[in-house]
Amino acid sequence: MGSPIETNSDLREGHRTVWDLPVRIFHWLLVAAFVGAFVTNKLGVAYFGWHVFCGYAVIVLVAFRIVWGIVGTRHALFRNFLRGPGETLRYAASLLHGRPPAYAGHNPLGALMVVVLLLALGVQAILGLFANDEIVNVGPLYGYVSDAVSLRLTSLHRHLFYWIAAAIGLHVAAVLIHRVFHGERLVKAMISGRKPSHIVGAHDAIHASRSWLAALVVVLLVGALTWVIETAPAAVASN
Amino acid sequence: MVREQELMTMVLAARHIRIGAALLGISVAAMAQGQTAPAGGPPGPSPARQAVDARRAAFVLIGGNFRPLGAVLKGAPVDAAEVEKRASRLVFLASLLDENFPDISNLGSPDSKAKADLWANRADFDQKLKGFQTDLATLAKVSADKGSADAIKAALVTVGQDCKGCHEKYREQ
Repeated sequence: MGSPIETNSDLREGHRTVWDLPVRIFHWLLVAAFVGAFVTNKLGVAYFGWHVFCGYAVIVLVAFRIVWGIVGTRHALFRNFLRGPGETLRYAASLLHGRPPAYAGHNPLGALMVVVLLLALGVQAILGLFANDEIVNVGPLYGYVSDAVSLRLTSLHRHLFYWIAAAIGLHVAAVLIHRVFHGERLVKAMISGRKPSHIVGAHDAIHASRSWLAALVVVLLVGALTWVIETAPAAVASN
Repeated sequence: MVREQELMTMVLAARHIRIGAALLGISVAAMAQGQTAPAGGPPGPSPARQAVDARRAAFVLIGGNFRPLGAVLKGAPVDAAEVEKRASRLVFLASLLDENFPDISNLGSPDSKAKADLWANRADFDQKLKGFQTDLATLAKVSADKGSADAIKAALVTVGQDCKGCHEKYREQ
């Protein structure tokens, strides 16, 4: 259950799997979708179609991760990694003292960041569906809202980006701090899915990724999103 | 919604001011709204207000004539005659913007969406406006010359980038 186990400095040791394949693919595709959305916005009006595509990807990925937080493998489950304020604060204090316990899954602060980023990215992508660039492009669900509402949502879409960028900056900084000061290779773990055995007890390892279930969830989510988009009323931008 | 509330607050505030102004014998309310009141009768729009109204009108027409061409950016086939018709209108409409951003028209939100930065970076804004006009002229020329679909599309993208670049910097968003 991701119980804290003290880090030690074993030289050679085995590794055990904690992140299932769907979680890892999800994580890196979300990185790609976010970066893609940013880049296609910067590239300009002609790349709007790709920007929207990146937004769809974010929606499917975030929705998938929420579902996977309920039906996924051990360390993907919200109920296994969300911590109360007490444990989170104690963990934060232990960070300041320089010897935080290593967790098999997410540490309490990392868990908080998972929730913050999932919510923020989900909201950001949904806001984009109703947006209007006041030039030529509108989001696919623009036709459902009044122009005034669309402009409000567009404004939020523009501003929320900076908050998300800041949160991602903090997320990456935290991973680097764990690497430099605590010797935890979290990026490697998010690629291979494995952490050192001294962190992951035998009972904490996962033994299957349930990728078929993940694929089914993704197919259903893509279908649902497609239906929502296809049934939306057509509309053009205003200024 | 918030916008409407702000306007309502402003109107209410202006009313209070007007009562005070009547007592003082000066039209503070009119000044607060950026208006100069002629003697007798309701005040007409101030020169600042007129400039804002004029540029908004121009932008409504610019948007209305550019937007139908936006489909081309999303892969629709290029109709050179249609592009030429709209581009020639846009060249004219964009020329109207030359005098629609006088210094006095820096009213700020909620009266205008033009940011104060526009006047703080006047030379840059003027250069962007000039670029917009030049790129529209190029679009008009390329379509009038029955240029290739790719050339017309490229000219359209350039104009769209001009819109975006200026909005991002100088428009409240």
